[in-house]
Amino acid sequence: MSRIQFQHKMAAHCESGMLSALLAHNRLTMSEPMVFGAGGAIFFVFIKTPHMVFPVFDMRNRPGDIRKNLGKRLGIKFSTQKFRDPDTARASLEALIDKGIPTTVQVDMFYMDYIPSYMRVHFNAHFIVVVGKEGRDFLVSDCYYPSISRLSRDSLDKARFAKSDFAPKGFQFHVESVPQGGISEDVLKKAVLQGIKQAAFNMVKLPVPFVGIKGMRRFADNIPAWPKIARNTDALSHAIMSIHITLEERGTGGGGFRFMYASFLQEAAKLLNRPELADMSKKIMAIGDRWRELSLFVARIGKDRDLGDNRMQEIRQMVRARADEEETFFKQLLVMVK
Amino acid sequence: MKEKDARVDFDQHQVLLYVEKPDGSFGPLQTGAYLVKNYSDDFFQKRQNIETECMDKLRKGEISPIVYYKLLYDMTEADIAVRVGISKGKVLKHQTPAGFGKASVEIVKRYADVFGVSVATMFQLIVPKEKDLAVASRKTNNPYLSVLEIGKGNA
Repeated sequence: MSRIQFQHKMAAHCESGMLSALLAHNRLTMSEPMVFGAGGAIFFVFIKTPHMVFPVFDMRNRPGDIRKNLGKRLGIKFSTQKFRDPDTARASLEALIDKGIPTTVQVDMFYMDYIPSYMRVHFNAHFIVVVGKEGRDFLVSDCYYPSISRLSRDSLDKARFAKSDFAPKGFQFHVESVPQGGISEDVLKKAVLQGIKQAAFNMVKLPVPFVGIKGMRRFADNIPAWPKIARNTDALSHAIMSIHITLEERGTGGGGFRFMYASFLQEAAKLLNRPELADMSKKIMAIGDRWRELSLFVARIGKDRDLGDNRMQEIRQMVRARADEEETFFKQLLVMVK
Repeated sequence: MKEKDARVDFDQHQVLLYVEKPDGSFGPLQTGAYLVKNYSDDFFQKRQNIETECMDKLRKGEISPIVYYKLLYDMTEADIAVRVGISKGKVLKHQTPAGFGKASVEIVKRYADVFGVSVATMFQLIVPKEKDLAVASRKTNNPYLSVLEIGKGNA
């Protein structure tokens, strides 16, 4: 039986929250918005694969990229491993826990024993920190929950070796080293600028039709086709209401990560002594408010089964309006950090 | 979003949002989940509708449990196939009772793992005759054996 003294705290998003907590464990204080922003995480991607009934979207960069970007920019070394089988993966994890090293594992959220039934969906890119073991159970810090949770060995094995999109393949990592004496202000300033530049570039310049502003418009134009994909009204309602979940309650901090990004820009403005970034933080907060209007709208019409073609067109127009606003916003941001 | 607009009184499911504080700064707020508080009844009603739709077809032998769980968890045949480790064609075959009958116990076990149920649950419907009876399936260390606990209140 072993339990690491780990400061668990709730966070908006699993990857940025978990990284912020891991860094704190290694005596580096960095807020979750700072981790998110310096990691260049704000994004938009429209995803349509045969593994999904309806197309989906996400508003952050690829899972794992925040860690990679942060490590590169701040000189933090992460030790990463992948495994072929659960027994070897578990043995490696247990050895790290025995050494007192909190270890992050990538899991399929479906197998988290502690989640309520309405949250049980197969999503392979969830991150939790394993902080102990009691009998056959692991103790995990999942920043979507108020306290340390208990996860059975069987569930953890299944979660780490689930297949399909973003299959974890037993992926785990821990902090190997942090810069001696902490992170200097100059290094942090540079990382913040790099993070902003990367995110703004991805949103407006990346020549890929399903990401950034282009992806947002593609997603908007796809929505009127959803009634044809749906097998019945309930299924359409569920898909439309899932837009709310993606924007608000699937670990975004609200407004599709835009509120958290506003918090980051406010922090960045102070750090860099650039008041224009504080103005930009207010702008992205206002954009987030309008994403929230959309999410409340889809929740309402979904529940009312008010899902006619005119409503689909309304959602399309709302998403396109957000795309227009964000195009202006990120172009302006890109100019500021060039 | 202003802090006062973000507050949702719902202890059962908490989330962390970033909000504008009264002093104009932006920061975290732990609060209740809006959708869960206001719309979870609708979610469970949809699940109930799927159950009603599928149970009749299951009893009549028109579909296999694969169809039921596919609809319940909003999955595609392609996704189920990858997760179970078989071809999409086999999943399509297993959606009929005749095709499902040809699946090996090992494959049924893998389906059960993907759907988060025991192997036994893939072959039976559990319908308590009394309203206050609760039923729960418990795992054992034997991957092919689960224990069904039936009792009053929370089983």
